[in-house]
Amino acid sequence: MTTPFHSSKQIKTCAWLAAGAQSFLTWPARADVADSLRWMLPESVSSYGPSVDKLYYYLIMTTGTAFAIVVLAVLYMCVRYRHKDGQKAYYTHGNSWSSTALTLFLAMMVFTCIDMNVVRMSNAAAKETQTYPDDATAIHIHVLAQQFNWRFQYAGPDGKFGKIDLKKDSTENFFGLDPKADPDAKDDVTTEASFCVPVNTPVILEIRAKDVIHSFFLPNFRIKQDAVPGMKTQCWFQATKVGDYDVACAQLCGMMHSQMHARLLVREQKEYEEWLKDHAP
Amino acid sequence: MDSIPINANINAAPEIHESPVARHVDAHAGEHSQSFISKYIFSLDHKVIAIQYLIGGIFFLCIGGFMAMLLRWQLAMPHEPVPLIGKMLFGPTGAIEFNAYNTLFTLHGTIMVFLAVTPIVFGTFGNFAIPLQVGARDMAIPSLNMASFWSYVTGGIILLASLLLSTGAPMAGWTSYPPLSGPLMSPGWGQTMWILALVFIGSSSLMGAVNYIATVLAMRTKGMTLGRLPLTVWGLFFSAVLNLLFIPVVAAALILLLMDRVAGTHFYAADGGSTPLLFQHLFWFFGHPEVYILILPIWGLVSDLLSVFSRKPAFGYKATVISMAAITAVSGIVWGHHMYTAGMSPKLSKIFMGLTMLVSIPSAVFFLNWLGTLWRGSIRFTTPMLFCLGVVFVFSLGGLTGIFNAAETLDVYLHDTYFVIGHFHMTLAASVLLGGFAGIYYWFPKMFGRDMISWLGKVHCVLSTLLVIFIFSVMMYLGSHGMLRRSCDYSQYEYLKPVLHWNKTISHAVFTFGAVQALFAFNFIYSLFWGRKAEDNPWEAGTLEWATSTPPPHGNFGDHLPEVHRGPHEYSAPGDASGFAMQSQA
Repeated sequence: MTTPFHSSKQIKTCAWLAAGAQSFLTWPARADVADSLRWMLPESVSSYGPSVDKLYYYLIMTTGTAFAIVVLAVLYMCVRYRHKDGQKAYYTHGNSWSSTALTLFLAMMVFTCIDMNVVRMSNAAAKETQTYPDDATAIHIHVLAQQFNWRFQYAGPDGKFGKIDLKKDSTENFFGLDPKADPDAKDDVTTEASFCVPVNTPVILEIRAKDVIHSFFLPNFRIKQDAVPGMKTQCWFQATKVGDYDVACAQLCGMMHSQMHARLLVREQKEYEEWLKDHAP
Repeated sequence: MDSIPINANINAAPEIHESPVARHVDAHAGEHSQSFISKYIFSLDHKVIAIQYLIGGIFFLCIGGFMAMLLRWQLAMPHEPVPLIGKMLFGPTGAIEFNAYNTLFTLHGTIMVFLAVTPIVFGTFGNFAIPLQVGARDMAIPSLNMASFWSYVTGGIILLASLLLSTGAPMAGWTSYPPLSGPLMSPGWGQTMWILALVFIGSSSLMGAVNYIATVLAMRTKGMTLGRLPLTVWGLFFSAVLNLLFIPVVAAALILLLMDRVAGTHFYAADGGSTPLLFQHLFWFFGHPEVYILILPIWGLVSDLLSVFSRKPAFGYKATVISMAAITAVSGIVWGHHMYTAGMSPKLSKIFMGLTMLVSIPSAVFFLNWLGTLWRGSIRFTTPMLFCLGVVFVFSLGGLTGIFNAAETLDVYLHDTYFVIGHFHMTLAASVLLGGFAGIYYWFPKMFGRDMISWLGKVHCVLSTLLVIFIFSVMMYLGSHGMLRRSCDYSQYEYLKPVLHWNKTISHAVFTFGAVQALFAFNFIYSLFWGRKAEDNPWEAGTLEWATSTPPPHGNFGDHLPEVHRGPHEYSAPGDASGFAMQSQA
């Protein structure tokens, strides 16, 4: 049984094409090119944002190319092999070893060109997003999600967080702190619906949920982390640009889910310290 | 019910048509007087049950589609009153309030997945095609088949009834994660009824699955080896295997949730020493295979139809079946990619990412085989063929964008945005819907004995395909921009301001899509009563359902079951003047 391509020359050509495709496809991941594609994603302002965006642009190019090939191939064949009177289709079952091997080879090429590169790039990005900065240099903030608000707790000048007791919380005391019995809690700064961080400084967030599952989402920072009742989850980021950014709840959390948002204020170190002083208890 | 012995007898063994009893039954079957109720309502005939599923599925498709349009109204015109019907549905203001919006998307998802798409793809096509294509007189266990349909109806009624509750309809999303779906956060009967409805619908699929597997394995006619089964049957078979393996898991998960709600247990309560993550694991352990439950029959159908209308054997039959088996196996171990942000260990995320990427290989083999079938064919552009080409385009978009969601670090950003909505609608809404239409246009003549209007079907196909590609591509673009799902109003988000206007455009496209479906409704109803009488084999296809009369008689194949001599796709063989050979042709 004959197959569509069977000579070794054609397979060699395929290999060359694959190598050429590889360099063509990595092209949009370059920083200067990524700039011209910026309209596809919101502004990225975190230290690891570019690595995540690179993966996105790479996938847009590779999957876009694959889709274009499928569409062109199908349309071409629809025209070329449309029914004509007196012309018979070519009789083949495509079950021979060479046909199967060719199909598998092309499938593996798709797998290597797209999937394996994606795994590699994702793991490289994960090394940035999941390697936590040094505890000493980073700013620690506790985040509490509760229908339908985001609350934030800073350790204050003593650098120690007061003990959180979610069974004792109230409308004034979101975290259930006990400043009388707990000296660490006395100077803790707590805020609602907005929080401030200094620019170019790593920030580690410890996230809790009081009632249902929420999800802490910073679109401009390319990070999202669920807040789960009974669990402490964490994430970190480092802002690269001063400005005000959106915090959204990404996980359906009840009636007013769409209204559960907050603002992240990224400021210079000095302004950040002033902000903390303004919000001191 | 006097029809029980008939079906029981004719199914007892494939050879039974040689016995005097069966001959009596067969001779009797055509004219046997059955009451309307036992013939059309509590029917045991797989063809009638298939039509019942089709009517049920289309009914719920209309409801789910209507809900989608209400959702699109809210997204295009936030908090504006819905014209004409707003006051009737949503109270004095006529606008969709927060709770109403949550209820709408919860029920849209649940209805579309479990009550509309599953019955059409699995219920209708499974029931209609399997016995006819394997050469059986009926399903292995007709009474179980009937129970399956009525269990589905019960589930549907319970779910719709939950809309009437004064304490509120279900509104925790189609995934219904606890604690939001738990007793404290969703009090009242709404969520409980949602669980009960799903248990009934799940049982329905389970009964169908047992029947399909038994029929495919034990009821094949003489000569119908596994290697000669049409690919549609293979797709349905693997889909049934997935149902059998994973529906019990979700049923168990839901019953535990039910216990949490009504019996005061703490299976998912953090303060009871458990974790809400348990539910997510159990749900997605079923939830991911569910995608393949819906898409595998469509893949099989498209593989068969591409072959029929390219007048060429399906390219790489064996590789296609092996890919289906591989996808069935892999689908059970990739559920973690729904939970990258859930608080799972990043190490586990990486394992799930690797496993998920493996799905690409069998999927690519599949696609290449489809292209191989078209290659050097003699393509006839009938309505079902156009829909199949639509599936090829839409599913390639859906499948390729799946890689975005499989990539862990990128999915952390894209998770719970419209990118995910666009992606899964491409795969399990748009391509399943287009594939469903392909199947309906293809089997309509055999089901009802009349042809549908061909040119109207083609217009319906081209418009529907272009619109779904546009709608869900723009949704993916909005998702790339970080637009979240399940939100009724985005006005407070600064980062979305530049792209929000697209929501209006999508809504216009969705309303147009809804209007286009009127072409199908007209075509379906008109052809049902006034369509041209269909021939026995209008498509010149080789599988067994086209070897019997149109519509097939009670018992499917006259006095003698057909004997199978060849594979399902013998088109354009050299030396064959007629251009194709039926499987039953000696």
